[in-house]
Amino acid sequence: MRLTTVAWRNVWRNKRRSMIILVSIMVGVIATVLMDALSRGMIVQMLENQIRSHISHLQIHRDGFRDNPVIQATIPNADSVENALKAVQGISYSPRVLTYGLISSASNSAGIFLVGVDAEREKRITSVSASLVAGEYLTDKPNEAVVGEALAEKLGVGLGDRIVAMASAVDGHVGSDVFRIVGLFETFSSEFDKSTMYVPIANAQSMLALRGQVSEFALITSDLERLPAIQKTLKEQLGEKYEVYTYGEIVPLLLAVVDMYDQSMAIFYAIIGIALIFGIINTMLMSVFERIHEFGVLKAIGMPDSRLLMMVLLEALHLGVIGTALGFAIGYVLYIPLSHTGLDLRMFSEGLRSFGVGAIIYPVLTWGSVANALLIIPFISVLGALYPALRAAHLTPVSAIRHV
Amino acid sequence: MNLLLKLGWRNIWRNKRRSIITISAVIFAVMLSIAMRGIQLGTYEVNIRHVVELFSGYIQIQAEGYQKNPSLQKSFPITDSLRALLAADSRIIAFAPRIVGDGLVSFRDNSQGTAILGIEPEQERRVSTLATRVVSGHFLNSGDAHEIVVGYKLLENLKAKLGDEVVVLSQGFDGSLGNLKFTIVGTIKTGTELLDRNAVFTTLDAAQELLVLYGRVSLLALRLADLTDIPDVQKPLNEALHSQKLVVLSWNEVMPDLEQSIKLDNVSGILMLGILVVVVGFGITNTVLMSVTERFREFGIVLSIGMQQQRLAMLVMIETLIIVLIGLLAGNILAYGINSYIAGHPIEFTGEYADIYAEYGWLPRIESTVRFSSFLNTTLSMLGISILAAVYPILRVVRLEPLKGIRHT
Repeated sequence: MRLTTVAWRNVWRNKRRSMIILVSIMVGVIATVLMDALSRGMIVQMLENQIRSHISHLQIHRDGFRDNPVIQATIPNADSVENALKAVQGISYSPRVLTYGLISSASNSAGIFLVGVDAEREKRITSVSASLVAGEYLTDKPNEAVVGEALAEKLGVGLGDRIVAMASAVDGHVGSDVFRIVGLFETFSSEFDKSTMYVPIANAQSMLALRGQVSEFALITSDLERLPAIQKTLKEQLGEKYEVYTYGEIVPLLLAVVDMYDQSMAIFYAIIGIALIFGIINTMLMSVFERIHEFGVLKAIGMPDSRLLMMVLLEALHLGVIGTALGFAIGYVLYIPLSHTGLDLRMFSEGLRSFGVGAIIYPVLTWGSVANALLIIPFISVLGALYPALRAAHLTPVSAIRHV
Repeated sequence: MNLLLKLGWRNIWRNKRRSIITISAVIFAVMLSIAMRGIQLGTYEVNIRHVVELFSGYIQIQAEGYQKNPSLQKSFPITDSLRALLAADSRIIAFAPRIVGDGLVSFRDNSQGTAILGIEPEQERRVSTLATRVVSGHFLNSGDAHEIVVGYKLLENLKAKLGDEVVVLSQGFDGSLGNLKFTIVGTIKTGTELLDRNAVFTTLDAAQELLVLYGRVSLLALRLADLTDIPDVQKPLNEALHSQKLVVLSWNEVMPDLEQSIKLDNVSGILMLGILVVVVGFGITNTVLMSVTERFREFGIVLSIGMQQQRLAMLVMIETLIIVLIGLLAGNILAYGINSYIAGHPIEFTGEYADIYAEYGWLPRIESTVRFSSFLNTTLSMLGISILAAVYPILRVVRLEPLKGIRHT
């Protein structure tokens, strides 16, 4: 009879004990799978929201713009950039004019980040047009403005009201223009909503005395895997006068937060693993001790130590694998509906918004987490069985046979 | 009862190894839970104190509706009766008047949107730690007209340096646009991205001149003796100021996002420890069940010579509780050691994570606190789960028929 078969039968000699350890492994696995999916979902949403509200996957500027984003640092030759972008497959891009300014209503004023966009193209890369809570997104009509709802509230204005925007122009003068609010948006970032205003790119250019120049090209790729390659191609084609940055380079903090979450998940895995290992050591130890007589007989008739050791380890591995498989199956069944409906954390919405995450978290299970969950717990089971298995292997046959 | 206790104690040590492993599991869970709760709560408390003392104040007095719509229209004068009211409460250590406006600061070709913060330097020093955050130059002094302290990042973004003159443009209380020239005399670094990147601090007088807000302020920030004093101070003050259309808001009402981030972190921490306790609970069930099953023969005998089933059940419960109580005791002592050590020696960290913490306005530091409630909660939940864990094995004992037990091998 093969060793695995023996080990398998041994596991079921004491059904109740095996079931209880299986249930505790299952609880551990279900908990880790769901916690992992939930925090992963939060991270994915945070990244996606940041990218989709404004940052986009890749930004192209005149070299030096990122360190010193002044209005004078415009793209040297917008046509050649557009030509280079047109040659890239599977992307959407949008030109933007960016500056910091001040807007005033009759009652209040606020410092803002002014973004001049081409409405149709911007719609394709960012989700602000889909985050409107009132009114419409920009059309091609002049002097329209879309602002965050929080910003409008602060200024005490609503749809249809006029606001005055001011910002320093290319020539050093303060340029200003009157805009009519046509839309209000609410994204996942309270900070962004309080400080951002979208206007037609032509208006922004005339207000800032730009002659058709733009500050930035932002692009979104349909296949994130290709992003490094796209960046490389564009860098080579555009040359020294331009800077081409991915979102990871623009907000390194985002990736650092992802790292931090990965680490806290690792700690969580470790804690649950340690808690489980106590149960496994105890179970395996008990099952070894009640079979001392039997092990003595096996050794006396010539079973090598290594095979005995292997048999006990295999018993633990069976427990680990079955527990993990069942736990994962249940966790997955719970995960499926949750990933559609999401987990409503509305009571923490302000806190979540300060992290740039919406109030409903949609858990995300990645292959990495699946692999972690499926490998770690069986490994821990074997680890926990090591001491009991060694005890079994080192028994002296004669005294073991006499053991009752 | 005495007999049962004695029996239980001896039974536990009949299989030393098993009991010790179970006790270790309880110790691990209890120690980890209490230590982590201590670290979480301690870190929250230190950070809240840090944030409120940095700038917001423990509580603020604002005009009604200012929190939602912070405009200059919602400013108010500091009346003598208001002063008298604040002076009367000994728990209010100090108060600082502030003006908050928005503007555009320009240096040569560079302009940046900015928050204009008018403060009274002497009073500010007593309420916030702002003055200690100066990284270059000096803090404002009373009577310094037309001098400003700016966030260090704002200075970098403007490409300006100390001593440079900048122009601040803003819309005043009356709706008119005004501008004033200021000399940069210092920079501050608060770790709060918003202040470091946006803030321009000037004296109350200069801000009132720029914003045409003579005699009025946007808010009063109050420093209290302790965070726990907030409810006691807030309530009577709120009632007294109601007639003047002023409201008193605590730090968590001024910064709801901070409070909710803390709550979210807190809940996820509790959830994690809950899972840990449940997993250990299953371990306890297993141990008790094994120890019960291997004694079925023995139980059968004591039942047939007349021991009552309830007494036997009681015995199993006592055994479980002894194991758990030893674990709880040791876990509590170890956790107390960890918590008080970290409370005395906070762990500072640097590098990438320090930046993340700073971004969210947290101190890059792990603190702890020895709080009775976290010891009590963990102990009670561990006890509760242990009693639950013993239910199934005890049911097995209660259902045991003496003869079957005797014949059990």
